[in-house]
Amino acid sequence: MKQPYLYFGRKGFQATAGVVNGVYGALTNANSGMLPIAKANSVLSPSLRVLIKSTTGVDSVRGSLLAALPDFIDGSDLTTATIAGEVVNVSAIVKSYTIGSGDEVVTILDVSDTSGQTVIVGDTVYMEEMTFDATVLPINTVGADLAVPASAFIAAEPLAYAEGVGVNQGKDEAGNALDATRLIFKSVNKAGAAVDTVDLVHTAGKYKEVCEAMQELCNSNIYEKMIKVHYLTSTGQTLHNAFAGRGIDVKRCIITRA
Amino acid sequence: MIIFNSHATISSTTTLNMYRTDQHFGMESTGANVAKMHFKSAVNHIDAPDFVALTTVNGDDNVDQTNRIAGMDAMVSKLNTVNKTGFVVAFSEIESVKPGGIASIAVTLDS
Repeated sequence: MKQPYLYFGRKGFQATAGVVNGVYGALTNANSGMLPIAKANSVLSPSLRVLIKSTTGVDSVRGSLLAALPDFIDGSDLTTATIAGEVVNVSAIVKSYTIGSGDEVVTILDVSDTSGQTVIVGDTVYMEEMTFDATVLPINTVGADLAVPASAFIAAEPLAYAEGVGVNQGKDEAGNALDATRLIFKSVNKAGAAVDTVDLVHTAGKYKEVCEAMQELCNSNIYEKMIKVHYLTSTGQTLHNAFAGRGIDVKRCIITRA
Repeated sequence: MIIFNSHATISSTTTLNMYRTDQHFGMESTGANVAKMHFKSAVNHIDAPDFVALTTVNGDDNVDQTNRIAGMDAMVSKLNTVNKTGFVVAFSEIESVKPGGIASIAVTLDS
């Protein structure tokens, strides 16, 4: 029986409330879809982007090096004082954040350092994997990718998505609302009663469009190679037009294998 | 039906194996230059599959990714080949059938 095969690659993303001391909860495959490796304060990460979105104006909480950057969203000038809605790209400065060895814990400097910013708990911090790179794992072990025959597709169902805090809850760094959908497949690893899941965080209000895209792909007649639905490469994200063409942007793709 | 011949000499249970293409569960990356195919196990267990590991040419991380995907693409083409007069040879050391840049394969049977 000829059938299409769907290929999914993982992509990490997390939006979380600001932590005043700058030490964030450990990133895991389950909570963010990524395991970033250790990062010193002397290098830039080629893949992990870290943004802070402020919700309240506070004076003298942003170090001078971060204050010299433009706003990440609209390019306006930043200062040492925050303004509600401003977004600063912490990962643009070498020293601003580090990741501990083996603990996947992101630590962002506070304003006591010129590369730091002191946040409040009402701010939202966005951590996002942007490219395929060995600084964010897994890249070639179980959970990194999945190729499944269309006949293994069982169901799609909406998931609640409410990461972030306050006015930014459930939204990306630019203020675009997000939703999530779970795609469920017969497990590649077991013939019995087990499933593998692909959880997508995507543009809000697109549940039906995700179902339409899956319907299109599962009924396509591409048999000579896998249909690359979503994955990261060294240059960025690849998203099949069945999704992109329906206005679906994918922020996160978590692969959970039985 | 699809055939995997991993060795130049057919001498044991994992040197030439046939599976049904409709009992192929899927594939995934499992190493820098390795992707695995999962088939319903020859012992008919429901809790574990048989594996066919596809080893591609090793390079840097990006080359590895490209090569793994090329190997999986080649296997999809084989899995979707309809041969009404016989089986499909996915890989063969004896016949030197090595599609998609796959350098070697290894079959692991569930037991």
